[in-house]
Amino acid sequence: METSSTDWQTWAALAVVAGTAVIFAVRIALRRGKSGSCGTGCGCGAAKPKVK
Amino acid sequence: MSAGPSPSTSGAATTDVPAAAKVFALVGNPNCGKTTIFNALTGLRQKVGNYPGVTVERKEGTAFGQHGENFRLIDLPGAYSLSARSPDEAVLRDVLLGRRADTPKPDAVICVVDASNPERNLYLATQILELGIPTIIALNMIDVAESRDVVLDAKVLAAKLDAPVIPMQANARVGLIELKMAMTRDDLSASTYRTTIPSELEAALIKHVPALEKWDGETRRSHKWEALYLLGEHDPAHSGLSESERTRYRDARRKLEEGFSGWEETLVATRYDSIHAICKEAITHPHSDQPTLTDRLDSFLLHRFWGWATLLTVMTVLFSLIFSYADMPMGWIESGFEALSGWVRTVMPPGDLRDLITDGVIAGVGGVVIFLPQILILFFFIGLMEDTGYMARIAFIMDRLMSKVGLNGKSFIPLLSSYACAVPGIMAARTIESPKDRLITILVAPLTSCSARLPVYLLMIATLVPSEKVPVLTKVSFMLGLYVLGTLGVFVFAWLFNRFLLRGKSTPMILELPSYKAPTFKAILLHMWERTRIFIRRAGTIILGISILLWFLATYPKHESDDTGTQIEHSFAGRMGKTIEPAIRPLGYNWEMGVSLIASFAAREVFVSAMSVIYNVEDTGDEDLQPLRQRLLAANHHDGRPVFTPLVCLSVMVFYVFAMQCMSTVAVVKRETNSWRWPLFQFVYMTATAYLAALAVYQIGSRLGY
Repeated sequence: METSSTDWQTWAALAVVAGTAVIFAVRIALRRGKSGSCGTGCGCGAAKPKVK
Repeated sequence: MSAGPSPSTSGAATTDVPAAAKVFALVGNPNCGKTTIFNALTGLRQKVGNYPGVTVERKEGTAFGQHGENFRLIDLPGAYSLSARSPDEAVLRDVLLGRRADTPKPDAVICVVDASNPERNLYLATQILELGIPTIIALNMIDVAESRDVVLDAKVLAAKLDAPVIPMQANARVGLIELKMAMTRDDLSASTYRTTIPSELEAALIKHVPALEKWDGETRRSHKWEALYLLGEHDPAHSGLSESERTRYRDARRKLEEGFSGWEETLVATRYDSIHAICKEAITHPHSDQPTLTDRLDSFLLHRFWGWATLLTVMTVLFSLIFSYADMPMGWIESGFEALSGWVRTVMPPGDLRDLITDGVIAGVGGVVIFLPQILILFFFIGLMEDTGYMARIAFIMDRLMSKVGLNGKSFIPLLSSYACAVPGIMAARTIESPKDRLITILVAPLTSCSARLPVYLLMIATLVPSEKVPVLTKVSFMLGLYVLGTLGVFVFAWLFNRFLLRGKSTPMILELPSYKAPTFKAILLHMWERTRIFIRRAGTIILGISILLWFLATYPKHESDDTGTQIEHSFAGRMGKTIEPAIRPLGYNWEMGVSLIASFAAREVFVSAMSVIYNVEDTGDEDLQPLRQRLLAANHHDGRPVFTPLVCLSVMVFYVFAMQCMSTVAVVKRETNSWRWPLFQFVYMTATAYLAALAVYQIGSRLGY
């Protein structure tokens, strides 16, 4: 009885761990895609103003 | 019966507005109560600050007019003039002139003017009126003006400026209905107010600047002002002009300076002359030479000796209260997590999932959440100091010191924000005009003791000096010492960077000292709630995730031995810890601390949750959970020596004073400097300093026999 409980608990725990690792990986990948700043390296983080 | 929201209620905090909704821009000098009006109109939650530069980012919300009309409200950065000297002032200028692709040109402007300081505030207001955008003047802080016996005649002011003037006391919602009514007016039109430019200067402008040819015409009025403000551009990188246009403007500027030397100063003086003429008719100061309560308080609080003595006393009281009053709620949280863990152990059969929940999730998250009461007390007092106006005085006192190490006085605001969290602090550095000063501020800001360090400090102080043995003042002195050490680090590294890394001229500080006022507890409580939300969200996301992964690393691969110590030593975490152990042994750390150090590279407070997870996994089977500090006190090396000696605790605290250990800060520094060079440099210099300082503490302490 305890063995079967241990088995399913092991699988469930590993699934939680795997899910967490996937969420972390996805968050890191998504963060990389974002970019800010006006492109002048000044530190303003603003979008480039449109040129008239 | 009319549908829609009640006229008397503020709008919901959403930006879900119809595309055709009228766009209002909220502008004003820093510290004029703009944020309070934005909150009152939109219901959006935002910090109310008493020192300049609190609003760096543009914010947007939905407001409802007095009859339920939808408005889109854009909160623009505080500025003194449309002649931009910093990136955030350039954003203000560009939004008002419709030069930004990401923001619509406002249909109308609400210009907030501090009634207690109208002359200075009207400088920006008159510039905005001249742009040809319909403008409402919100004459805020009328109560402060009245307390100083400043009498303002709103009708005369409205007639002189040719714009509606609404007297307000935004923090008490006085004048809000009148403002909403003015926003709904159909006849809200552009002001005809114009500063009369001396004819010689006007002739020179027309002669040398082609874009100003039709200066007298009313059409394309804002285009002429645009040309003029770009002509006086101090930061060409933010003008949004192409290289050829920049060259054209540079040539025009050179010719203008040759033809009319001091043209910019003449323009400023002309505008101030017009403002003085208006104020003479609209404002009376019967007792302008009498010292106010603020003047009298400042003579003491800004005194060379008493100012510092007061600051030290305030900080001592603050930390004493943190240690005295947080004990009880911390005990409740601790008991709550223990009870939860015990309940899980009774309802679930033994197994990995149960261990994950109790030793990973509950121990990891609970280990950090327990420090919430102390963090809340800290933020209550920070909010209190901001709201009363004392924080700006601290900035003033510190500026004397900062100028000695070559730091710009404006750096104080980002550095002060960094005591809460380095991320907004680094973003606030955008208000600094000089690129060199901005970069130095960004590089040293993470050395200030942020709230994420607090759990590490508190855990180590509790282990170093258990509460039943020592008076509160001893703990307070340790905590103050850590804050002072971090602040010293800021000064030393700023001086080094200024002297050897980034040479150049610094700009002087212009810091506005607001009048002292009674705190608005609603704003302070909202600020505390905001911090709680951020803290709980971090505990429920990053810390929860890392605790789960750490539990896995500390549990797998399984070892046939029943001894939990042997099991964890053979786990992935154990192997990682053993690998770096030779490098951290000279600091007095064991491999368990090595694992926690690695895990806390993501965020400093993870050190506490990681220790909690590792020491819980080691003690699996123990039904009676002990607080982490007791586990640390009971932890021994194989030869029976205690692991957490006072020297080791000190070494850990000193390490965390200087260590970077924050992925979010690395990311924001990369974004703000637009390069990996500076965040990498910052990470290396801070980690090396942390290591060497902790090494020095442990080795020197050991040699001295501690």
